[in-house]
Amino acid sequence: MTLTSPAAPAAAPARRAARGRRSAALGTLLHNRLAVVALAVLAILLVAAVFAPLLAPDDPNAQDLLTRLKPPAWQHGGSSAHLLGTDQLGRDMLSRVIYGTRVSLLVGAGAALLAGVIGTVVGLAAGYFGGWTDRVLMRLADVQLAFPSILLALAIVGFFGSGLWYVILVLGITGWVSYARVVRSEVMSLRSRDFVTEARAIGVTDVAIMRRHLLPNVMAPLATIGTLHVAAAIVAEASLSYLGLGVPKETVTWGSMLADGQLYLGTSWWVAVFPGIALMLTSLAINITGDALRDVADPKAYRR
Amino acid sequence: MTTEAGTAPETRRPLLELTGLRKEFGGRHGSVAVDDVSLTVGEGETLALVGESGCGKTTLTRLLLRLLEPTAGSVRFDGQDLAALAPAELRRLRRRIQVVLQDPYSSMNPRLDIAGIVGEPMVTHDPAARGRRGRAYVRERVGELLESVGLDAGIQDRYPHEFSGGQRQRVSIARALAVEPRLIVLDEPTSALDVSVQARILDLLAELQQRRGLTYFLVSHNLAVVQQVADRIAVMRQGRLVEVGEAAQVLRRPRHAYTRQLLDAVPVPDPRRGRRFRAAGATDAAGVTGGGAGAPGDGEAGDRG
Amino acid sequence: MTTDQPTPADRTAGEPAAPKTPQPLGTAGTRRAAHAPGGGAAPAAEPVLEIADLTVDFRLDTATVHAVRGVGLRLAQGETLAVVGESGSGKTATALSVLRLNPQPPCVYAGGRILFEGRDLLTVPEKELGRIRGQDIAMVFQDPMTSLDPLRRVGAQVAEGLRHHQGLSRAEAGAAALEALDEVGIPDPERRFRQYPHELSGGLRQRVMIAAALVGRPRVLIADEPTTALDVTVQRQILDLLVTLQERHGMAVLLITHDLGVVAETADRVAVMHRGEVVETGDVLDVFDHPADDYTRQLLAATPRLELA
Repeated sequence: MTLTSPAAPAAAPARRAARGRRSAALGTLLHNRLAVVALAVLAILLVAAVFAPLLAPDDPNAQDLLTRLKPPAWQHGGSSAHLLGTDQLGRDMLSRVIYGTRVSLLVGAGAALLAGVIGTVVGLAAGYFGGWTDRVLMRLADVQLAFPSILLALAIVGFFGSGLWYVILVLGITGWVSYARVVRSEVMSLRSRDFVTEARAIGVTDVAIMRRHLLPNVMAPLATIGTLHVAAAIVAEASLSYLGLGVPKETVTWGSMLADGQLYLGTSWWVAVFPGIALMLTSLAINITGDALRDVADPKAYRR
Repeated sequence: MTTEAGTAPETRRPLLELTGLRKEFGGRHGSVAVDDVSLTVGEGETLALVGESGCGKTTLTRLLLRLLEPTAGSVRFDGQDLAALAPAELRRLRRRIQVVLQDPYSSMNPRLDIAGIVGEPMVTHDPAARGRRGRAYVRERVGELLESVGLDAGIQDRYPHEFSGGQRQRVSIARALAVEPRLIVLDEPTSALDVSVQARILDLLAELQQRRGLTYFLVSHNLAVVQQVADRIAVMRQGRLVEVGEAAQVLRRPRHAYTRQLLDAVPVPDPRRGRRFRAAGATDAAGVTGGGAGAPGDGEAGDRG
Repeated sequence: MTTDQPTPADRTAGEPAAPKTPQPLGTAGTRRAAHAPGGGAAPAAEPVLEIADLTVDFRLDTATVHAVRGVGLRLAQGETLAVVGESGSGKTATALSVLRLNPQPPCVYAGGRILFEGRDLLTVPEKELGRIRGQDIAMVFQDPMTSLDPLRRVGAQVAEGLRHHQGLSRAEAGAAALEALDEVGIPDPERRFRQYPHELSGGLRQRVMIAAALVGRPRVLIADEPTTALDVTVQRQILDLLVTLQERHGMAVLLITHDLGVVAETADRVAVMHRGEVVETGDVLDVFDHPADDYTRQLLAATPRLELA
């Protein structure tokens, strides 16, 4: 068609990708071995959360003060009745880690999703419309940051009472600012790009511009913040629960397990370490998956 | 203005009329980007707006596309004052005015495939492109459009980065044609392209104009390009039009000194007319006088910001 | 410009383009020699810079791009050699190879020699090359906005090379830099000396870049699309400036451009590049009048020209 130079390696490999965009995306994802492992870890976690009652050997809240602080099975003094040992009230660690997956995943994903939605909407509006919209929304963000999140948590608990959904609400409301800031700055640079100008010139509505042109182009940084936020929210839930502002005591969460375990770190390390490992694996898996998804979402990634 | 310049497109019906357009930016330390610009573009003609960076041609383009509100003056398209239109009416009218921008790399959303890019004006303006049957309709139309600009209809699922600059510019043109526009604003459509590609894009534009009776508002800094396609030329400098006239007249008998300066500055691809050979004569204008060699003219003089 | 140019019938191809009036500048002699018949392919003078059989590859993850394939160029003292080509022709990769400025990786200098003062620049140690860069061989790039450090004053950036290469004191280097700013035609150089790049227009910034390149009195100047980012009237002034400075200092200029108009305005000789190879080299008059290669002919035909008569 037009002169193509040898320095521009295009055309041929791209045709292959065009045949099946979805299968190409999947191919790219599966090509990344690390991403496959991460996806497998997430799948296991999900299964653990859904089928906890079937998988857990014990009731996670069953206390047995005679067998408190038993070490894991492979250590001296441990027994096969409690594979990962017991905590300070003699509860089975393995069962508690499995049950903990439920709340922790829900809180992490829920808080990140809520914060992401609020932050994206605010950031899109502030960045795209600019002017006083931008000023008002960004002042709001500053206020949000300056406002102590504990105070907000107290207020919400005071108004509504505590529970899982309020934890998600608190963490979502305290977390949206970083999404909004990043989306806003991306949108501000995208807004002056020619393709947005063209879209405006031909009469595309503002909402359609945001949906078609802006949102897809801010997904990459959004995914990055989101994956970090999931892990942060899981830990934050622990602090809230520790202060009695989180979920009820009898609901098992990795956060509350960590909080409990720190008192025994010197003598019985397993109480804190196992929920810690679970948390670390989760956030690592989410991070890697997030990165891989971001690559897949970029059309340029198919160029091999 | 038209009478003064003696360039009234008598045979052509005016399609676009700019009257006394003015645009100021900023508050206290504001600047005037466009100053009292009046210009008429006749149906079916190509008007070229020529000027250097910072002369206000980009602002003027945005004013006529109604991406910016003028401080004063009016833009009339086909007799309708754009400022008097309700938002919904304005959106409907935008269908008749399409735009092709300079940089084929930044004028496309990298996340949309070619079908999405070319089909966007249809989805925006054409009810047939929406709904259940819309997708098939858009794909069929996009295929036709791609073929009409010399591309393969089968590239719809591919993404902008897979194409060369010239191919992308063809995609931009296909997109501009998608909803039967009457006026196309071409903002430096070839200045990011290699010369051999540039020549072909200009040919394509000329052919499409003839076939579809399009009106072009061409913005360019390149007088050699302008000469090939323009019926009339408007020369802009520091926010004002310094000269408007028939292309041949402006290029051969420029009235304004700035127009002549622009013409003289164009590098001539003929070594015998090149500076080295001219310099050999007594007419060495760059003058190695005093300390400075070729002091900058007002084109580059002065501070920024 | 439109009135007194000779018609093609005035001269036949290959005839020396001898001016009818005396030449104002002393270095014109070398230039005329380069225009002599048969001087197109190999200038008589000993080359200052010789590129022989240069091959540059870019090894990407998935493929190797042969950006430059066996390019040979000779640049004589005091002449301007224009390398012209479209995007992807390898002209910039060739220019950057002279100072080994292509990013490594992915760039690999796969073969050939670049001889400067008896040394092969492709193999000299990095430390020695560092002395040559900016001192003996200087570069001017396309975009004066990105090639100046936005956080440092203009004067300091021009003086930098001198302090670095010649070990001048701050005051000495500053004085030389001020003189250089004056020489490239920057009005009120004392004021500009203390300003930051964003305070200057594009044309002035490019003059600053030229001052920085020339302050060390290089023997070779490599200018990579030096006027592409500029407006036509400013381009004209910068081209005039480059020619004037070259004549005054007698340096050799390797000019990279895509614009045959710029070639015609400034060059003594021209090398046309296409797909990583030099398809044609010769005196500007010969190449423009009798292009030997098909691609050169295409390029000439596609170049828009202003027909004013």
